[in-house]
Amino acid sequence: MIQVLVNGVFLGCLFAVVAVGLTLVYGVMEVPNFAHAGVIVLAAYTTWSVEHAGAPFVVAALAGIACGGAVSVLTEVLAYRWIITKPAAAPAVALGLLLILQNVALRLYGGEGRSLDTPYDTVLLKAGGVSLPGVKAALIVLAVLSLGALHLLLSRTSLGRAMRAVAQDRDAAAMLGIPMRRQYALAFLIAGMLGGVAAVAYAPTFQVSPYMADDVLLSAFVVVVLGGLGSVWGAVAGGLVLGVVEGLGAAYVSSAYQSAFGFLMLVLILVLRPGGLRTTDARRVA
Amino acid sequence: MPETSPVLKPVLEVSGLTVAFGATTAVREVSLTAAAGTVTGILGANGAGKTTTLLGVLGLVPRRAGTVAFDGRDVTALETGALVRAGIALCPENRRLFPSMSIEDNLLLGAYGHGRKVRRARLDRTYERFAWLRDRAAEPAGRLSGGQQQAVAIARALMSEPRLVLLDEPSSGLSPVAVDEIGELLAGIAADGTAMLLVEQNVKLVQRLCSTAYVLSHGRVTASGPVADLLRDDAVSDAYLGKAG
Ligand SMILES: Nc1ncnc2c1ncn2[C@@H]1O[C@H](COP(=O)(O)OP(=O)(O)OP(=O)(O)O)[C@@H](O)[C@H]1O
Ligand SMILES: [Mg+2]
Repeated sequence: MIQVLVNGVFLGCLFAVVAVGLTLVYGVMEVPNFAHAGVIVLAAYTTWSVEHAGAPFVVAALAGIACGGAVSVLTEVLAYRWIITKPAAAPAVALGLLLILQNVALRLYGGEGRSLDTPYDTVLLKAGGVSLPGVKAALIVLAVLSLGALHLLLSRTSLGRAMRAVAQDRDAAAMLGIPMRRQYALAFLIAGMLGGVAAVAYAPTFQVSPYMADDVLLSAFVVVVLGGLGSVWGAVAGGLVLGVVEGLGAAYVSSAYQSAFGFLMLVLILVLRPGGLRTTDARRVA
Repeated sequence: MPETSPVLKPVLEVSGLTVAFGATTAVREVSLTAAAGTVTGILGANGAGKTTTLLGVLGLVPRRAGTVAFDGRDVTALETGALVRAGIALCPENRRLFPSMSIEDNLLLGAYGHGRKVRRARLDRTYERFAWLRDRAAEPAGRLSGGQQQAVAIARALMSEPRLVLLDEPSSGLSPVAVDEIGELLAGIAADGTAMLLVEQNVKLVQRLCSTAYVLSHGRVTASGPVADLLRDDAVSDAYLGKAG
């Protein structure tokens, strides 16, 4: 049972890091950023290729995270920014971007899966009857660190305060002279770097491939809806809940249907609580 | 040079401002000035273009023509952020606080773009002026009463230490007592030498604060001058201000 919970927490941390990136972007710009999965793919391949070229894992990981941030900002500057006044176009543009990014990966690296080696591949943490592979432990640690850093940014800095304001009332923020473009770019930068963290952290447990992030993206969208659109802490809580639910489902019913439990939950929530699990009158990033 | 008193030198000079949303022209060739230490009224019926005029000054709506000079400098090309930092603050229609953010966060957002030290110093000054805010700094702004929220909205605008404040219907939705308090507050701000443009439907407040005013109708200035003269004109007072007291 505890083993199942630990696996659920691992999945939950992964979902949370990806979902927070999605919800941040949704909060400030109101786009469903499907291209996030493509950002994760390119970040993972970058990490793999830098490591493959002989660099230490830490350097490769940092390169992957930087790549995630850069590609994400590019999607905003080259695409999303131009449709800000046409929100109906956002889902189509987002899907198009996802296809483009996946095809970039396909062209650059081919379709076969690559495995990412880490210095902690062989580590196995054991306590009582519970065991946790090093790669999973590393993901949990990275998730906690990066979400903690994001929390500090949002709550303690002027930029973070402005970002919360933009998410709550974009026009009112503009009236105070807060530059919208910079806020959009910043949201995408943070989201992309979180995507990079997710890529670096979970690629070693799966494989690096152009479609590696599809399932995670869908689960993360479930989490975003679960946590209330635009809510960072909702996404964190939702991620953990979904991770544990999927973990329990996989352990006690069938692992083949792992993602299905998430969607079952999504449907139930949309029917019962259209606003997500949290009850707030206003959308917010906090 | 004794001919012009420095107090009356215009801080803001708008000329020929035209704003259009697609095919609809909301503001047409509006020209107006605002002087330091005075409150200049903008009156007009619903939909006359009052809000659009204020937003146009700050570059928040698409300007088709016109120039904006601030402190004698042409600032037409500046973006909103630069205008705010130059000293023009807006206290928007419906207050537009961020309701789930703390009062302190709301205030600090008024000084966005300034360094941490400057923001802290201004916050302290704000708490001296609005002592009751200090104890409630951590509360969500949405929890305050309407009058309190309006005071916070004004305090937030003052956090940029503006030389010109644009106020859009600060009395709307407030009780008579709260309106009086807001009037008191605004009179004090003007007395400090700040220029103000006040969009307002409340006649009493206009009479109390404004010496001169502009009347807007269908996006154009149709009358301007001393408030007493404007109000003596029945057509103006009936059509544009209603019978509010
Ligand atoms: N963003 C917008 N898009 C299209 N039309 C707009 C927009 N904002 C204002 N308008 C139109 O411009 C005209 C002037 O509106 P504005 O809000 O400036 O009037 P107002 O004098 O402030 O009215 P009120 O007293 O109701 O606040 C109106 O006809 C309005 O419908
Ligand atoms: Mg208005």
